[in-house]
Amino acid sequence: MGEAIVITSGKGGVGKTTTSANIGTALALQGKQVCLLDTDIGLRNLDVVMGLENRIIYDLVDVLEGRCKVQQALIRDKRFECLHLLPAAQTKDKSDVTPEQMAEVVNELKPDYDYLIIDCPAGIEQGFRNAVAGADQAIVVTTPDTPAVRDADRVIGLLEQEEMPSPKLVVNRVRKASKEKGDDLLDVDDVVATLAIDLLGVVFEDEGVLRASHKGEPVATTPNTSASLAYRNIARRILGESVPLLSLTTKKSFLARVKSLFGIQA
Amino acid sequence: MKTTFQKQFVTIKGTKDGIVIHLDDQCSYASIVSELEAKIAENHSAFDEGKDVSVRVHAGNRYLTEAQQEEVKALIEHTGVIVVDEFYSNVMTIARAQEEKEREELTTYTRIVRSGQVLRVKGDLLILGDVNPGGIVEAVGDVYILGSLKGIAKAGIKGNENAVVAASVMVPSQVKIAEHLYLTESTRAERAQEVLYAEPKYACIEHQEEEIVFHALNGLAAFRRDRKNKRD
Repeated sequence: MGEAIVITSGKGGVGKTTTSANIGTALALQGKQVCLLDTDIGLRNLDVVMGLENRIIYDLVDVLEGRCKVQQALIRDKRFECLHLLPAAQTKDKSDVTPEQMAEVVNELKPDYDYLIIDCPAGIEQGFRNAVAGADQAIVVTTPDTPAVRDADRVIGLLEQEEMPSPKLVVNRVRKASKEKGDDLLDVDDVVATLAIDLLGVVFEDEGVLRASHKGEPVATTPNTSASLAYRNIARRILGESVPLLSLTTKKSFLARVKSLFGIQA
Repeated sequence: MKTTFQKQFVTIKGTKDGIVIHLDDQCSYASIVSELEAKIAENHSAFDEGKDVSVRVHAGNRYLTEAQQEEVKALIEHTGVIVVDEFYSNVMTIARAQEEKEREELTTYTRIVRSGQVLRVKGDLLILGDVNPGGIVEAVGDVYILGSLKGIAKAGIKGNENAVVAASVMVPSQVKIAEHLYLTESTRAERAQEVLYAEPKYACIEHQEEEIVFHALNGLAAFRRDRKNKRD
């Protein structure tokens, strides 16, 4: 029996869809059977990030309204045998689906997969309630800025009312420079202190992520970028491994560390 | 001196704390009223004119409704020189008792009050956790926070000006006690840099200045003692 994990944030644009795509891909890289579920009905784009938009025949609403079987709507990823996507409808609205229907679909899919990754729309209305309905666990994505953290806090409050374990946190788009330059952006510690939930991973700002979304190939598939490594580490933590967080200091080369010891700007 | 053994329904006694009027609690209410009328008329001359005397009315195990209290009070004060200071009774209604219990009760809440959450209690509120920005806690009595207050705390929401808001770390966006409001003047960026008070503080209304002030928490014991004395 698989585990359904909803990826949510409250605020839009913090990287829910990117995180969903990459966690799903990274879990598939570990050989797990993974199904991605896009619940952003009307504004779907998980299919675009995954590069699968041309192959959509049926979607989530077709399944719910009985026009096809759920297996017919699933899109198999070309790169990984074990990674599937259930796309959202683009022509309908979030209010065309009820939480009960969503829970039904999730429960129907769960036996066939190790992980169901549910991509939640922004906001806390119907779309959010639909996405959360079938989930066993939640991952909250935020960026290190006050509006995003405020919304994440609100969403965590709502998730705590559901019957599920305390959500896990992913801090996305962390700028490496922010701490050293001493600007007043929040750092990861501030975010974790405010939200007071377990930190699942930190993803650094990386242009490669943007480029990967543009190409339709999740960054987790490329081996060498820091974001890719971060997502793969998150996947390993979901699988129960204890992987240390990537830190800012260990990224410096030995020479840079020696230089900074003598106060020389690298 | 009267030697009849007929039980009196209304007895007036002088004690060291002043005059107390005892009302019998076994007879009918009507008998009290008629006897009280008679007694007041009879003793009218005994009361020193011009000088106000305050008395307390003790109803024993009788429950007097608001209307009855008013009636008794009117009868007694009809003399013009006696003022009823207070009513005392050994009994109260269940509703009143419950209300009182709720007012005295301390509700403990062990979690973080997050953005958009509103927590309201009828008595005092103790939070083991933070109140995050955008979170609101409200109490008819006091608010105590064993954590950081970053959101909004309101104490004495039914108008109790002696209520306090106490927190381990004070970084509030607003503190309200009764109708007095404390608004932080620092910007959010400034608040992120430094907290208002990093050590435990309590907020209360300073009566001379009619505004909310913050004091070190170790002064709360004295504040509460004064408050209790004021109430008694």
